Amino acid sequence: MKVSRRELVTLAGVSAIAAATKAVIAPTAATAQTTSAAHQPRWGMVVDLRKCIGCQACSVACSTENAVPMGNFRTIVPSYEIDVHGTARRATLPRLCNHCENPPCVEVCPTQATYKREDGIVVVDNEVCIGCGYCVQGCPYDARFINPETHTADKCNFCVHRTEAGLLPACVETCVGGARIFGDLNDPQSTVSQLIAEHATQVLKPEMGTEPNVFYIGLSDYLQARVRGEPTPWSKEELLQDMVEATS
Amino acid sequence: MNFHIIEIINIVHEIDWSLVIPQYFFFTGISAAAFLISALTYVFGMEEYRPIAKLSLIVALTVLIAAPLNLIADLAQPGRFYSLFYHRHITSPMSWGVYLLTSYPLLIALEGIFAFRAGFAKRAQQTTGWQQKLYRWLALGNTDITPQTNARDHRWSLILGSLGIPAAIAVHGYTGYILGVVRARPLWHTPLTPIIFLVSAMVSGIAFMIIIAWLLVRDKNGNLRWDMMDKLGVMLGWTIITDLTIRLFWYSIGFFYSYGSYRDVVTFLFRDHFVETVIIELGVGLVLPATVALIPALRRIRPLFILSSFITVAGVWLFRWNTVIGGQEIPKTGAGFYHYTPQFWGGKSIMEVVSNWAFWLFLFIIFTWFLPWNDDAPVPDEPVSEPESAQKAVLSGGVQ
Ligand code: SF4
Ligand code: SF4
Repeated sequence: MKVSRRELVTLAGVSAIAAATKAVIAPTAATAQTTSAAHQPRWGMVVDLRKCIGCQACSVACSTENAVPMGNFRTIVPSYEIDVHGTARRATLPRLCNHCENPPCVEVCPTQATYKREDGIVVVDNEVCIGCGYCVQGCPYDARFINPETHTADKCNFCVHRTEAGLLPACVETCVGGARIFGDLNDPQSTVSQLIAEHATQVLKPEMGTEPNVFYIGLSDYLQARVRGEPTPWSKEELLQDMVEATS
Repeated sequence: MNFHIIEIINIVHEIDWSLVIPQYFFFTGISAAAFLISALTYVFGMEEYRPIAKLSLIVALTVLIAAPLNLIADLAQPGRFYSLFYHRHITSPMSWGVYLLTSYPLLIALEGIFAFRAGFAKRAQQTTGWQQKLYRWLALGNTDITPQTNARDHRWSLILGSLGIPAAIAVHGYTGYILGVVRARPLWHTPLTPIIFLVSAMVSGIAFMIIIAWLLVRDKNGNLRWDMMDKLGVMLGWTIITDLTIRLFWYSIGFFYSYGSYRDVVTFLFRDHFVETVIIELGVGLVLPATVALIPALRRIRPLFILSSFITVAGVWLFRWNTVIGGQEIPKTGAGFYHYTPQFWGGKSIMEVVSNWAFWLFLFIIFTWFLPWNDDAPVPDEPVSEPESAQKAVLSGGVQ
């Protein structure tokens, strides 16, 4: 989809008004695109874990925006109880596709249905995808699933239909604590770039060499890789069953 | 430090590659191994395996026709399977597979034509009507059986068989490669994966051919060919020892020297799945058959030898399962381990694997019915029976 710069500015303006609370963040997405005609944005996200309250508003907004089938998630906020010397604390960790610089999902896709766009967003062309699930295996972050309705690979695409229109991804727009910040990593003035410059940031599983474009502030090392602890005590099947019973 | 994490909210990710994938890997492995066994005769001229050379070719081809059906069944968009031919991606082993899976069976079929040509010619002479037409056509229109035609057939089987060896290794090696490249899965991500897949494929294929020989191959007096099966048994024993040696390297380096995420593999295999991995897969599936195969006194207890061949085949299937499914049961982000129980009916179910076996059996029966794999009447296709003058004629013919 091609959108002229003027349209982008207008749409960004609309979004800024619509999401008044996001006034600081919303123009960031647009300003990057309007600075110069040759400027190539590279979209990325900073998740400030100090501000995440684990409310799952982002998970819900994402599922609604993208019509994600029940039981699957493009983004989710796993929560952990961490007990150090008998003192318990909660940790939340919003997870989504990292739009890796060096994405293994793209590498293994046999049909090139999954590819990385110029602007850094990793997308799936669901008219080409054969649903082999190789990318699901290849992603080290559990970011992908086979959509039971489209029968193709599915995952977060930074709400590409919104970002192309100058809007913010649904999760960012809805984030209650302002923990998710989206913007152009190629623009040193963008909020994301500045946050990365000012804070120590971490990425998930850096040893995988994927070079994620989702950065975390305040990510503890024991949550960076696979979490070693007690698994969640309830199963998806049980929860779905409960939901079905509750709504019937 | 007293440190403990409890996961309160997370989702359990589905096991995406279901049990039809182990079945696919298992069948391609049998195919590669059966082909290599046929090459012992057609390429390396080992006459002692000639009684199963043709059957091995039939097995190699039929399982390879049945195998990709599993792959297609596992696609969420099976109708788009053909698009793999024109949507290529050089960095994806799955993309290479589609070319291997097409060219390799063609190569086997072509080699089969020459290996069976004398038999076809003979049947064309013996039959009438449509059968005669069919066999004449299969014999490439030439129903002569002369030393010259035999020599030509041999030469072509040799050439095609030699080309087939790397193809067979590739067609199974690539399946190990598919898993090996996935760095997100510590159980799969080792350079040993393709090698161990190839060696365990040989283990399953040799055991499989022992069973086939036991069921079908008889000498002229109608007796079982224990001489040949013994040789296969010894080969099986040593292949299992090779398999165990590679595993020793794999597990010991992983156990004692590897990086953090490999610890999960060790816990998964040796603590949570001790019975499946150590007792059944390694103990019953490999050590026991190797012992039976390599100790002549045990091997001569024939029911034990045959039973242990069956167990070997099942053990390799279990290894495929433990690798493909087990690898996915180690979560990439979540805590603990997942559990996968296949459905009995429906898509990606136990019945799908059973019907895949049934389809193979159907193909095998059809192929062994119309292919002259057992023409033990004096078909002069044994090089030993060729008069010397004929070989000279070929040699001089080759020089011209
Ligand atoms: S997070 Fe996973 S799905 Fe997203 S780009 Fe990286 S490897 Fe691909
Ligand atoms: S499921 Fe689709 S996007 Fe993923 S690897 Fe297969 S063809 Fe590519």
